[in-house]
Formats: sequence, structure tokens, C-alpha cells
Amino acid sequence: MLITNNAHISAETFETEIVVIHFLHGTYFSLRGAALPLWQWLQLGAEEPTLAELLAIRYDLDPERSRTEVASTLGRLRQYDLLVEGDQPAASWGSYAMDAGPAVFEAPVVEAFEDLQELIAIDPVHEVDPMQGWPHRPAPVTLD
Amino acid sequence: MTQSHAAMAVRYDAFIRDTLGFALERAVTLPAAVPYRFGPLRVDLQVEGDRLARRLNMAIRHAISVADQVDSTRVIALDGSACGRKPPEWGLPTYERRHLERLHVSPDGNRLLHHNPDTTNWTVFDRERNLAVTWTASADLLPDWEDSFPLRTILHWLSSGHDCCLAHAAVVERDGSAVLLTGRGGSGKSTTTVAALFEGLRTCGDDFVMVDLAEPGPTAYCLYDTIKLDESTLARFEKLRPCVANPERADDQKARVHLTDIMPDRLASSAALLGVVQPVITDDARPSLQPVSPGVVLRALAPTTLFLLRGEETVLADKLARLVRDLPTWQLRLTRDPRASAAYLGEWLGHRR
Repeated sequence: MLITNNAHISAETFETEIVVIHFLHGTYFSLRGAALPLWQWLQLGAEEPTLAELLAIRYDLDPERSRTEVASTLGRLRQYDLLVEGDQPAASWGSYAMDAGPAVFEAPVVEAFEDLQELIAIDPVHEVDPMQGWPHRPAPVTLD
Repeated sequence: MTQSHAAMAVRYDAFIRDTLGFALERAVTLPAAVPYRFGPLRVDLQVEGDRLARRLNMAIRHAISVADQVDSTRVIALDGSACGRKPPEWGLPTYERRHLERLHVSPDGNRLLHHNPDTTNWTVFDRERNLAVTWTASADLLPDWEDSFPLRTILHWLSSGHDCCLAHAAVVERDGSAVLLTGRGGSGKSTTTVAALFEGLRTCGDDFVMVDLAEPGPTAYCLYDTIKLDESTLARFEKLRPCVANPERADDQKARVHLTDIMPDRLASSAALLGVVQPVITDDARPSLQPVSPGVVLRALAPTTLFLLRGEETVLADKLARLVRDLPTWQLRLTRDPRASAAYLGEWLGHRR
């Protein structure tokens, strides 16, 4: 199942947007519209079919439209590594807040900002299988 | 953590232990530590190498304090060319993505390590021992901009254990009250700060400041006495040109002035924060402050701070979010006349006190 990538992100919920920052990629995001309740329900462990059902109820949407909006939003969130595969127990149905997000349906917005990525200094030479260790400098560390 | 990861983690722990041990050995031979105070943080700094000592001290002279070893973090700074031993290059195993950034945080969060390959500089912090080491190959190899924010990484890691944090922002102050100006490069933050100095206001810094979130309310503290100016800002304030501390800087580097040298009365050691402000350059006829949602201001403040200060991101993000929730948030609509905008901000601060 897809869960929020809590190990590598910070997400702060405000009245009209959620600000998400991805520590590793140097990207940050503004989630607005129906993306607000979707994110909040995702954090409670809701899976895609549940999300579609919740969104349809929350905004009195046609089920097919709801499924499309959810699939599209999850795709965007996954594309940006804000969702990862994992396990999380789903919350009870009553735990999903039905007053989250705008009162009237607004299409989910996942706006990505990549203008600060250059601040993250990654060594591309070593973008290798982590299990291989540090392939080019195998010598043990010494202080001499 | 897998068994192989655990085995590799041992090498990090050994490296940190050996580095701290080496620094402590050197410290016995060094001059007495100089105590500094940055708001709630106290640091006792011992430096090996006169050149490194001068470079580290320049921007933080204003914070020299009285010794208080009870609460102080011991920081030992080593210049490899002075102590006869150059720091090693990175040779540690990679089993986490953070290692690609040459950053390591122990699973319990108590030991942190960062390596800068360009300067072969290592920064190591052991929270339990309250001891930090920065070890560079040679003070002469440190880039010019390091003089603007010495010990930044250590202060960031140290602050994560307190109710304070560093913020990539400027502070404009009047009579003890201030606003935090935040925004990416080119937003008008530094120019407004410089203009404010010429309008009789003060600052706690124009790049990185310390913010204490503890009661009675958010307070800004001065970390560095530097003001950084790009060429266009310098051209607006020609009086500062003869005061530039790095006249031989590279073309792509900003000029740097130290307020301790040129306008010590304009440096505020602390100020009560009234709000967080995002400046935006406009063609408006008059400057104005408009309320804006805290989310917008957090987007201006948090990513740039987090991406410049590596490690402890979750803690830092929580504090920055708290800050914009605790304080009013505004957008400062700047005109094309920085001094008019600064004067407006000064008047506003005067009325809000």
C-alpha cells in the first residue's frame, strides 16, 4: 500500500494548504483544494479505494470522477516521492475527518517547487546500490 | 538496520570517536577557550591555527561572553596545516542516502558527522559529550563565504536540543521589537535590511539568525555581524564600499561588511519578534504590509533554511512551523526605493511596539 514518506518529509497543515518539504530531494510542495483531505486521509492509512469513497462522500462527487481525481493525485504524490510503498494500519472509518479541506470541491492541486534543489549537494558518482558500499574508496578510514 | 549496515555504522562511530579524541589531545596544547553566547546557546571555542582563529572569530566577535562552562558546548576547531595532520578524505561506507551528502546521523541522533569534500572539512558533534569538532585541511582553503557564518552547522545541530533554531532570514529591529524577513535570494531581504540601517533601524543579521521559541515569545538573537551585498545593493549604498571586508572576492561572490567594525550601534543582540514577513519587490507607489497565510511564509522560510542546514530536519521543520503559527505573517510589498520601504517598516515597528 502507499503511505506518506514520513521518514524524509515534513508536512504542515494550514487552513488552505499543506506545505510539504522533501528533505532529500530539495523540493517542496503546496497541496491545495481536495489534496488537503486526501493527504490527511492518507496519513491515517487510507488506501486508494477508500480515498475515492471518502472524496465522493465529502464532496458529493460522481464515483468515477472521484476515482479519477484520487488516482491522478496519488500519481503526482508518488512521482515526487511523497508516497512510498509500506504498511500502515488503516484508521477506523469514523476517524477520517469529513470537514477537512475546502467546503466546496476544488480539484486537487500538488504544486511542486524545485528552485532550491541545487542546495542539496549529492555526489552522483556514488548513486549506486547502497549495499555495495563506497566502491571507489575501499580503504579503511584512518586519521593519519 | 541490517547486520551489514550495523557493521558499517561501527565505522562511523569509530571515526567520530577517533576524531573527537584527536581534537581533545590537540586542545591540551591550545590557548584557553573563548566563550561565546548566542541567545540560549553557549559555546567555548578553542582554535588551532591563528589564521583559522581570525576567520572563525571575525563574524562572531560581538558574541564573546563570560565563561560559563556549566552550560557550554565545547567546540574545538583544527587547522590541518597548523596542527600537522590533514583531515582524511571521505572513506566511509554508504548504506543510507544521506551518506551521499556526506552526512551521517547516528540512530539515536546523538552523534552527527558532515564532510565537505571541497575543503576536506569535517564537522563532528557528540551531543552526549557536549563536544563538537570542526577540522579543516587549511584555513587558506576555506571559501570566502565561510567567514559570513562560521560554526553554522555546529550551532544548528546544537540548537536542535534546545527550544531554538537557526533561520535563514534577516531581522530588522526598532527599540527592541523586530520582524523576521524571509525569502529566497533576490527577494529584497538583504537590500531592505541595509536600507533599514541607513534609516536608523538595527538588525540581528541579514542571513542566518537564531530564533528562540521559548516563553515569553519568539525572540531573535544575532549570530553573525555580517551584511552581504550584491553589486546592485552595493551600488545603492556606495558609502559601504570602502568598508567591504572581502574586496578581492570572486565576481560571483557577494561583498561582506562587518557591522562590528563599521556600525556597531546598528547591531542588535536580540529582539522580540512581532511577525514573520516575506518581502516581495513590486511596482507599487507606496510600500505596504499585507496579511498573508502562514503557509505562504513557511514556504519562503522553511525550505531554504532546511536545505542549507543539513541534518535534524524534522526538528527544525517543526520549529519553523511553530514560528509561523505563533506569529502573525505578512507580505511586505516593497517599492523600487529600498529606503522608502525601510522607513515604512520602521514606522510600522514604532507603532506596533
